[in-house]
Amino acid sequence: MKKIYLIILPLAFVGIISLFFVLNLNYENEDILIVSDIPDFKMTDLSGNKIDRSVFTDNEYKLINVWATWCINCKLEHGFLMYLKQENFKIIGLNYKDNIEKANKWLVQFGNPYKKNIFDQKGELGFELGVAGAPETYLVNKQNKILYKHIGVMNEDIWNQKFLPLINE
Amino acid sequence: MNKFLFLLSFVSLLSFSEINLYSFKSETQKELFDELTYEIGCPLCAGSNVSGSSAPIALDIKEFIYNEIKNGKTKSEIKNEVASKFGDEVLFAPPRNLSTLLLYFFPLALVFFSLFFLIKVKNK
Repeated sequence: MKKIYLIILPLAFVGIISLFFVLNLNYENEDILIVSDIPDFKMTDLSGNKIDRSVFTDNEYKLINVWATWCINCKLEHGFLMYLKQENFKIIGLNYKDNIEKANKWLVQFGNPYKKNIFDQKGELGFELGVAGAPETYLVNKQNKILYKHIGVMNEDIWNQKFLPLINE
Repeated sequence: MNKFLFLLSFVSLLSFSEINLYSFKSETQKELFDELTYEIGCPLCAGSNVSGSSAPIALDIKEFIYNEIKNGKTKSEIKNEVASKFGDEVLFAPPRNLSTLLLYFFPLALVFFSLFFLIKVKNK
């Protein structure tokens, strides 16, 4: 009688641990949802003109798209950004740690989906915004608060599943 | 003597020319820097702290930590600042709440359980 008890208890113990591991295998990382303000900044755009926080106008949703010519995946999402432009969605580009001539050449060559482009050569504004790399796409609400941060390539699935529900809320 | 000089020419001078990127006023500041770069993770490289990563963003965060220490910020202030930008995920010490309780007490429970069974089996 005692022997059975000695076998079943460790088995149950191991079973419970295994259950935790199995459950965690299917655990998806929670999305980064830090509601944060856009900091004040004074930078230049890709044409050399001054650009500041006022480029984020009130009363509309807009995107911040972090991109660079050295970023291969930025080429992958470029087509979808062009589609969003066609849909009249405002995208502010953050050209991140890039070369200004190469960046301008890129926009001529592949098309320009951006309303305005902030030239962030040293990644200073990027750091304030919490940019870890490129590409990244942030959803900014009507009150100019960042609602959602997407790290990685932007596409239709992510747009439909992550961005649209927040916009239609 | 000539042999000695000859051998001496093999001694690398490079080993004496270590460049210290971050210099601090005091030893406590240096310790704080080491602790923070150890406990703050690089947001792009899963599982690696900024101390052990050479990703551009990890270097930026290290630079930020360095400057904030020089500005006299405390450990928790700097941690909060980094977390507010890059998310709580970059803080390596998990928060102590109900869901992480298991994480902290599981090893302890395991030891007690094992001891319990060891004694049981031994007594037989």
